[in-house]
Amino acid sequence: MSRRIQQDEHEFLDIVRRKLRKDLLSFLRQGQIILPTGGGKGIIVPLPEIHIPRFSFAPPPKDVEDSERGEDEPSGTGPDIGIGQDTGKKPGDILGPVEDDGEGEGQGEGKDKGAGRGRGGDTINIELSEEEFMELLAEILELPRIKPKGSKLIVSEEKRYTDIRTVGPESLLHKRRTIKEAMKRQISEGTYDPNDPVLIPVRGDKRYRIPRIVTKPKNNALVVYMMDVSGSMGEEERRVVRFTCSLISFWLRANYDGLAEEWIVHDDGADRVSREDFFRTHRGGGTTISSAHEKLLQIIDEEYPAPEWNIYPVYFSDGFNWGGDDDICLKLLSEKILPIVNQYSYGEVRVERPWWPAPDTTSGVVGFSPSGSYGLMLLDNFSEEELVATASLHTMDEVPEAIKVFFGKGR
Amino acid sequence: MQIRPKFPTELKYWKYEIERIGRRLGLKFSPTIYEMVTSEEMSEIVAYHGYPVRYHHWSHGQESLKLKKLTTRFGLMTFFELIIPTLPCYAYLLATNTLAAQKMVMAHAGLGHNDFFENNVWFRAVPRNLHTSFGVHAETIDRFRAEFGRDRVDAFLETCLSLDNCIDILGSAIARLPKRDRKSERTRKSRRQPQRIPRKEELPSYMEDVLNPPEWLEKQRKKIEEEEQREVDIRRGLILPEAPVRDVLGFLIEHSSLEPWQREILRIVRDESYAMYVGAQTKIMNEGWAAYWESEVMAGEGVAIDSEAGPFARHHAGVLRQKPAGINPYRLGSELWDDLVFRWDTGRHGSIFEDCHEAEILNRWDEFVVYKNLCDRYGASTPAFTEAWALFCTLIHETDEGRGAYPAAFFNSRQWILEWRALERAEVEQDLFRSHLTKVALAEQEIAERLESGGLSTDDPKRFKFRFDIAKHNDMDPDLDWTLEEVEQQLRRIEILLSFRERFREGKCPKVINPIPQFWHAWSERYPGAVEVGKGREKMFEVRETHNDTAFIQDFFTPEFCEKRGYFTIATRQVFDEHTWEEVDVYVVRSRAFQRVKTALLLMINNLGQPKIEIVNANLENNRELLLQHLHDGRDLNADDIPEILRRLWLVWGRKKRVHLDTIETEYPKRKPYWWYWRPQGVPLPPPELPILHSVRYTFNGRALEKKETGIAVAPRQLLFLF
Repeated sequence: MSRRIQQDEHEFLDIVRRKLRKDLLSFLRQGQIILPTGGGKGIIVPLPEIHIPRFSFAPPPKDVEDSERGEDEPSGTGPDIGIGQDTGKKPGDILGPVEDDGEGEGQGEGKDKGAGRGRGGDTINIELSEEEFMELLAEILELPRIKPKGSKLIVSEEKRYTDIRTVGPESLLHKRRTIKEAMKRQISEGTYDPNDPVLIPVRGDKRYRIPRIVTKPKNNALVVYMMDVSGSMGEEERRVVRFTCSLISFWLRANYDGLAEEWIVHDDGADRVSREDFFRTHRGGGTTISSAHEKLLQIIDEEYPAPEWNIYPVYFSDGFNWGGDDDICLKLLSEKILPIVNQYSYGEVRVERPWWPAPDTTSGVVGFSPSGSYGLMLLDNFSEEELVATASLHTMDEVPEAIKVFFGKGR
Repeated sequence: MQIRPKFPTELKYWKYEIERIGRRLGLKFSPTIYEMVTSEEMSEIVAYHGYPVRYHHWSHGQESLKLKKLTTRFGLMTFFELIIPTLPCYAYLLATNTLAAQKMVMAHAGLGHNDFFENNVWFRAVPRNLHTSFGVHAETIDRFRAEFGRDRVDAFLETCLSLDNCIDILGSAIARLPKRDRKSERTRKSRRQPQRIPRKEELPSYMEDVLNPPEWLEKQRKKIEEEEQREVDIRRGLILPEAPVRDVLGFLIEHSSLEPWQREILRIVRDESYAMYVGAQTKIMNEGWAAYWESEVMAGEGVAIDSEAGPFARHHAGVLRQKPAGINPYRLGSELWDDLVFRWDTGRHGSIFEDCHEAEILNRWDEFVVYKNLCDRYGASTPAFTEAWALFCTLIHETDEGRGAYPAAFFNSRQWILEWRALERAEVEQDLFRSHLTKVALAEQEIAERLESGGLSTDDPKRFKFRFDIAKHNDMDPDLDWTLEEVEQQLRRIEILLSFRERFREGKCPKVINPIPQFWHAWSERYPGAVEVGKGREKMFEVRETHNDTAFIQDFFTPEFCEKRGYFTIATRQVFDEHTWEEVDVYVVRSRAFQRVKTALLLMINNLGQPKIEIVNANLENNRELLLQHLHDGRDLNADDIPEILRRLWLVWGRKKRVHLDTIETEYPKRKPYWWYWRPQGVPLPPPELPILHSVRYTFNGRALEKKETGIAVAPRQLLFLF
């Protein structure tokens, strides 16, 4: 039983989806997309309400005067924007934060209103399935599918309990087959009465499941996120990194059968941490970039043997490095890291170091600051190298371009 | 597949009971049909504004999804009920409401709102078969979609919707243009002559030039010429419209250049807009009215049984909640009605009250009123007066002590006059109720018999149905709106009052005589005639017929009301929050001054909170260009929307001629650094800077929007055009 308004709802969702496809790039730029962290759920894009423009009043101006002019005079100079009611308050008292759209009284006869609505107007949440989103991403950012390399197949073994034999442990008793055998025996004996079906299995009737090993080739990827936490990152920068990590993980998960994630933070020494700590940590020591890369190699050696895993290290930093460390890193990269990874990605973010002047972003080099020596080092040495991808991640709207750079080669 | 929930039988019985009480209280309502709906359906119905059929449009879909998200998913809002002013009234009840909630809703909507729709004069403009009209509109638009192409029709419909708040909400009450009597103009042959001041006989003829100087006569002749030329131009269509038109949509329907189907769509949008605005225009009154009667019926009349009293109180408190800023129409309306009843019950109106500033009188107003009425009746300082005064004072004292008819715990000065009045009218009321008694007792007996024969207990709700059946059988005799219990309760009360009076006359209770200050006599003499008391309900019924929100606030939002309830004006300010180290916007209290509060309130509800836009010229520069003007009352238009709206207006005007909008943009003084305000001691701050008003004209010429500043406007701030 479909109701009349459902046609309107479908029409609206159609319009919104079309708009979403058109504007996905700008949504990526704003970082408004919510990706599931574990994979398996849909992607949610909160879209602002489509509003039909009508003549309406501009939002009221805010008071400008800070000083108190005296108790009898009303405080502030702008126009009154509304009224409130409370016997206890005096002029100048603060009532509470402004909620956007908190005053709408609603139409129709007889509505009861609960708490106020969210900030920034109302949003409709549009859900996309993972496949859809991947398609859209691939389309908009022109990302080719990753071609997994032939030698990186892990043979994963699975036990399937599909075979039957006559002996085995009781926990693997296949009850249905046992009863069936019992029935066969009793019919042949003549002790089976259809009107009173009682079946008693004996030892010879019992059947057990046995495991069979099924090998499946699986392509697996490992992404190692590394970040320089020797300075402090602001809210915005943190969001940028978080969003980039979500997108990278999403894309890899969509292209490989399985994805493992590792998280490393470093200042002067490197530490392996959990996902939450990765985004929350901030230390304040010196900066030694090679420590993170050594940790990376250590983890790969210990747990993710290179022949079996497609490895994607991703490094976020502002490129500020300690003295001669750049050369050490260069050596590490060219001799140890690049031979075994699929792609090395570097994103330069803005990090504030209170004891050093802020990086100068007007250097003329594409996106990279002069104090971002690491980035410059990469550019100098590896600009021809296919395995190295560098991008600037200073603001949210650079994220789509970064993703394009990282995955545009299909590696 | 969902099965529509049925209207439960028990609820049906309670409906009879609630309607009976409504009739007994004097409400006049039309039949209500309730439909039970699920929470999801309720959101959908609200998106359609309560009407079963509306034309298809994505905006309804968006509203529906948004409401579903807010109600079912997040539980932030609940719509308990929804009722539309059709005949019969259709009301929707949430199937998941408890019985207590459904009773509340039936009292609120089925009695309160229904009676309001039925009796308020502004609702006469709303046809009672709106649901049919909306159905016809939907069909028409579907037909157009089929004939002219879906995208084209949808696009035009959306274009029109942008202008749907440009209507004249007072158009049914005010004649904007004087009626032109064309015939008499044509028959007037001679031109008007300038009026001369006639000479009195005694003055010599050379005074003629002094009385009527030639220059002045010349000026008059010129003026007459101009006026006549203007008339000619109007007739020829060169000056169009002759006076600014508030009903923009109506004007566009008549004068724009559109295809017939487009004109029809515009007409549909206008009709629907007009149909919807009346509810918005009376929202505060309507909701307050419904909340008042809901409370009366549930708590006052005991429809809420004891276990339901708690949930009812909670629900009522929630509905009447005060947010930190902003008005809640239920609360404001309900408080205003309360105040109105109180004032008219206790004679706190008229010049005798409004002109009185004497604390001696005002603090003991209730006693003063009784004093005055007694003076009026018996004459001051007569023995009859002293006797009556003592009777009154003793009555108050006794009731206070618990020996009266009114429960002492709830007895306060609000009830004094009413109690005295009850005593005065005791005999009359007694006769009245005694006359009810026989009929009601008979009915009660029959109900008891029916219950017994049906095997039901005496407090089974089916008794309500039986009572209704009996009443119907007797042509809805108003006597049968009473139950035996209610009549007996009233009679008991009267008996207590009468027995008290007996005791008083026999000297069996301590006589109390309250002192009478000097001022009372003088003030009483100044306003001859008795003060009317106990007229609260009557006044309520009168006001609900004649007023709309603006009139309601104008008349009944008094300084005392404002002060007692603590209303103030608010503004927004950016302050530094110490917790988050950020600048946040907060609401601050601005002022408690009555004039400011009332003006702010009226501004909020005036013209339904929409800007006033008028068409001032449809033939600008003799080129059939359209000029709209925004009547600025201290609030600027939202400039973000203007380009798109003007583009749509251009499309609707249809002549590919330019459209213009005149408005005023206010430039507010910039925020000063903190040190600006420092002055050495004793040196006063300079007066606050005033904002600068720029008058601007926006023009859309089919391709691009231009904005031109046409000067500095001089308009008083917060100017209030009530019309």
